[in-house]
Amino acid sequence: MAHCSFLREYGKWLGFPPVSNLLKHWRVHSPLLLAATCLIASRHLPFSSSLDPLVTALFAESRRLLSLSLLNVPRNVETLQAILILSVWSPLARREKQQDRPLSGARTLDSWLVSGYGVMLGMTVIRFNDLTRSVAEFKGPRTPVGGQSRESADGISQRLRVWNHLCLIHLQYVQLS
Amino acid sequence: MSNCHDEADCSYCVGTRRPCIIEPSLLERCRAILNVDGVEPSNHDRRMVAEINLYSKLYGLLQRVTTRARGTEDGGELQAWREEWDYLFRMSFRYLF
Repeated sequence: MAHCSFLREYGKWLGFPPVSNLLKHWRVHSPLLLAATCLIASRHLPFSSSLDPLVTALFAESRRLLSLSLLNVPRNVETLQAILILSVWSPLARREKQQDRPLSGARTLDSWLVSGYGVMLGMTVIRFNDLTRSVAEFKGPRTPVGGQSRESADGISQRLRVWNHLCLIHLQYVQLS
Repeated sequence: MSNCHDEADCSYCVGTRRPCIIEPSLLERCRAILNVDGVEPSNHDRRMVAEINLYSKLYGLLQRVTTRARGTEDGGELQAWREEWDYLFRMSFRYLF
């Protein structure tokens, strides 16, 4: 349910292709992205007594996998997408009390730090040689998105979209936080 | 996404003033999405590039706040931004999605 909710609410701006086996692919290739998508999709699930422990568990798992990803190779676009999601998590997370400050709870991440890490990781995933050529030749991150094995113009756009979102979110936190 | 951003902006504005780690040359590369062969960039993608450029210029201006040129912009950077992206704001709503 969280998976469907995520694709409906966030699939477009994160640049996910309409791939039927996306969930299966994430399970195998990017548990971090799977955990992050479920975490942020929890915002759109109806409130229930079982929701809060679920969100806590999803946050703990996302944080654990994010920590592991710091030193993991190969780094791929799925990791970037997960970092992108986690960098907007804290401001969007549901607060227990209205008067709580956004950073007062336990289920928060430093969005400036996370988005900055995503940008640094993005620089390593993106083909640096292409960066020195003209803009038109810049292909973006190397790894195909969503388990697709063939390069396509749409795939390039989707990857560039992820990079642009990382830059935009980082710039916003730089100036607004 | 814009709604996400707006909401994030409003609830995360705590005034700690942290540095940007992205080189200006890398920020310029964000325009690459407008030039992918065979793909017409969407209004969403164009607005994202415009927004990145706006924040980039604002960040540059804020870095100069402590200098003698406080509150002024060199060469009308913001006006140049407005002229470059003005067409986006004139587009019909049907192009938004």
